[in-house]
Amino acid sequence: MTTKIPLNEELWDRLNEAVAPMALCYQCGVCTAICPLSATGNSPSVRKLVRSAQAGLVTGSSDAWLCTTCKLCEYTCPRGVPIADVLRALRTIAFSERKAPARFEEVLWKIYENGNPWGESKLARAKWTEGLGIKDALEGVEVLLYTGCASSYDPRLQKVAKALSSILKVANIDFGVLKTEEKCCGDAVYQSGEDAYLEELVTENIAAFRKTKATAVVSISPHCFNMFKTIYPKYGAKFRAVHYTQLVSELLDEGKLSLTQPSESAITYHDPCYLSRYHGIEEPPRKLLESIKGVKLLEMGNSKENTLCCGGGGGRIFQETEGERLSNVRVREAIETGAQVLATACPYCIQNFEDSAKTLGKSMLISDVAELVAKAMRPE
Amino acid sequence: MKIVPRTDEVRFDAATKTLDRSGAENEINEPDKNALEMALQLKQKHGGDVVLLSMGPPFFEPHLRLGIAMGADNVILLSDRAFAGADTYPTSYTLAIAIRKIGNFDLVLCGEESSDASTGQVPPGIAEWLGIPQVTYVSQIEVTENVARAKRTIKGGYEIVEAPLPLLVSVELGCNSPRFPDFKRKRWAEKEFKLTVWTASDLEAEPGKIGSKGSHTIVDELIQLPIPSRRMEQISGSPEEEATQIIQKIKEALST
Amino acid sequence: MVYLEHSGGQLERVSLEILGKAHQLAQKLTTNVTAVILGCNLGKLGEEAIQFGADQVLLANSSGLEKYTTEAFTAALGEIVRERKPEILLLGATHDGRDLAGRLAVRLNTGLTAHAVQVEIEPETNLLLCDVPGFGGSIVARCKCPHSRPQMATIRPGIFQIPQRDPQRQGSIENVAVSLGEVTTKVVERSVKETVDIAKAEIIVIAGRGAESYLDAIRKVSSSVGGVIGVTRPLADKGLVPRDQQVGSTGYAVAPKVALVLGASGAAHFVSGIRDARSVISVNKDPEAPIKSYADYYVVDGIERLLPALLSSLERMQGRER
Repeated sequence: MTTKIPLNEELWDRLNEAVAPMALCYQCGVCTAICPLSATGNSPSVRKLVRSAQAGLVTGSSDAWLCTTCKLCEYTCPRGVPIADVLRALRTIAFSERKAPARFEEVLWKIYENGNPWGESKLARAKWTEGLGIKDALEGVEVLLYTGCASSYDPRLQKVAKALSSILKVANIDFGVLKTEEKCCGDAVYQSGEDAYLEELVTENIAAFRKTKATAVVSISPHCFNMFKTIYPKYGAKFRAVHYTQLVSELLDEGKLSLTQPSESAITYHDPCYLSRYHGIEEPPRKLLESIKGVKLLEMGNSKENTLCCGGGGGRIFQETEGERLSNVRVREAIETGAQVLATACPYCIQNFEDSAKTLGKSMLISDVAELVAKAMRPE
Repeated sequence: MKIVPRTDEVRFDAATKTLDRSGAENEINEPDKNALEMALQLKQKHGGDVVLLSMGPPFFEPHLRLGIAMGADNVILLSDRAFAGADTYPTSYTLAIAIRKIGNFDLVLCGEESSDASTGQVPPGIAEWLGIPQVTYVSQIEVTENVARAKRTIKGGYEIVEAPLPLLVSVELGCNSPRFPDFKRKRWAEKEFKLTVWTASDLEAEPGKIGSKGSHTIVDELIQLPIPSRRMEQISGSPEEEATQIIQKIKEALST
Repeated sequence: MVYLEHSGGQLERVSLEILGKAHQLAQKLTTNVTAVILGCNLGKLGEEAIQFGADQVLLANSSGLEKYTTEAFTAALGEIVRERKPEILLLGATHDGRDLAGRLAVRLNTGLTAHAVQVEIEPETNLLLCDVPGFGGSIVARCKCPHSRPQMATIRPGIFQIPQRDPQRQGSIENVAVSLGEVTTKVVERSVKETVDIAKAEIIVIAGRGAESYLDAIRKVSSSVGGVIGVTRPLADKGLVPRDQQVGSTGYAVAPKVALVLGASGAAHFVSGIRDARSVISVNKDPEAPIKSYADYYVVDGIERLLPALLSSLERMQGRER
């Protein structure tokens, strides 16, 4: 029996304009099969989403919003369809029709009003810098350390910011932080499919960064890094975007850091999706960890480009999770390696893993690479 | 619509006993966003115009333009030195005569209260001045012909109230999800949209009824409530040990 | 003069609270407390009001007053106030109370202060002084209405003590006729469930954002200790628990013997709701959460770890007690 499905020409035009390569999809379904969410009982049918985009169908499906943008599907797709972009195009259209989940809109309001998705006071953004003698970037610096909202406000993640700033100090880098003038990089806005406010926010940030005269912007979060590297140039940004693992790895190579403090520990490193699959940054964090005396680095089965998403990308970190959390699956995998420490280089991953470790009742230590390196720097 | 300072950024100066709002970010009073969202949903369903009315100083303007970006059609700001120092009586009077001047309205929607003084008195006051019925603490509303059916929150539940238009409604905080502004429209709102400002003489307001002259109440002084001193003792140990101690402390407190 | 609310044949809790306070104020002013009760089938409410402190009760009995409507009640109370000319008029800051007071103050061309947490008589002037909280509850404005009459105030529920009921107390009850005017609004449906009155409870177990997914376990803990549950605003917003059980500046202020706060970070607008709790115990996994400064005892641990331990300890205790 055939059903007539109404095609929306206008929608097809918009989608085609945004993601013409979606036409490459031949519906093999590998994307749906490989999507990590299929392990959790709450997964989108990726194939169907791409199909509806191809067919210009009006879709009110909430599936597109479940996606964490981990790009495992894209990595596996035999035809190279930019699936994450297709889903984002669907989100953009849904958002403009007010079909986005309410929580996404609330987060956008918070970013607009407070400069961060948590709704915390702008005045408290630089609290983590108190007493550390960190330069205000507006005084003019070579390197802008972009803290990011998570590391500015979450007490657990402030430790990462502090660790990284101590590393940069020891290496004598001329760096500073924008303090209360720092605003959200806009990742959550981008993920919501909202483009008009994104342009305003990105433009404001580029102007603020220009004031610091910094030639490089170093991010703690791979999500901020990704925004600065791939999205900001579209709006005229000229600075060099760097993830801190790249910078610190360079500093180690140049002899500006010495890691003298040993740490007898078995560590397994989790590749954040936005570092490995998005940007191929896999060796620098590993090199840093292996440079710490006494560290034994163990690899999980799903490592490097095959890394298993923690569930925080795509704006999901601000949403409720239904079904099993992806980070639970990953923490279990980490435990299986026999490691005592699960290291990573992304604040969302850390938030998710800390939660999962507590829920699973496991004593796995969750650590950011910056924290481990900073500890290894310290003399007894 | 009222623009208010972030309550956690307002500082109390203990020496001068005054409120320092200068460091605080200003934002649209949250329940007013819910009221605007309700208005916009009604407009989507029934057509019509949504006019934002506000009484305040010029710095309110950019925030009101945000209301246009959300979808409102017009903004009227009542701004005049003579309006300053108003308590809820002259505030509701001023807003009411402005509404009469705008004329031809079916519904007046207000946030249930503002986050600064949180009196919630202005909406009923406006309704009284206008001589129209009111339904407060409304979470949902439907309009058919010239009758509104409003769901009103009361203790322990709700009631459905029917009332004729024109009607004033005060909207419950959090009853809906205010839409994120359309930033393309916001650019238009900032560059091209002409915002209307009315002064006391535009309104032909009676001088004795506005501002501090029209206020019946005065504030004698401001006090910062002392935080009751707490023991701040940490209980630690294994979850079992912590649980035992918690139960112990509960028992102790109950026996007092 | 005190406006009393009632339901199910009994005076509302907040009305008793303000009756008690009104009695104190009246003594300072060497005057009487007149209570006004509007409704239909008012039964023994008049006597109840006297036993709780009213000297005189005015009953307006009418079918048009069976359910609260702004128009009818404003007309009725307005007429009574214009006739009797009280110095002071107090109402409970309930939804209906605030709805009514706001309109009535404009009708009577007088001053109204909102949800006062303290009222006193200023000695030199005999004026009513009201302490009104604002800005999330941490700052209080001391207000007064120097010239207009009556000086109106709505009183926040749960602040004042309910006075002792004195069954021997005497007073006068008067039936008054009121004209309700044209009433255009109609209450067509009403759905009220048995509410948990968190203001009455000796123990409140409050669930915050961090405890959101554990409400069932928290309910068990709460009933084990003979308490009620309260929530912070985000949980009430989500409809997980009725708003009547929301604690904080936009919810209720409670004064239990003990408040067990689970998974709340200690935001200022929540904390203002528990400031009068005799003892506050907090559990929060975040060692930096501000709640620890507002607690007598605090535990830094995850709710998911504490709850099972609490439940099994309580079970063991109850087992032993049997």
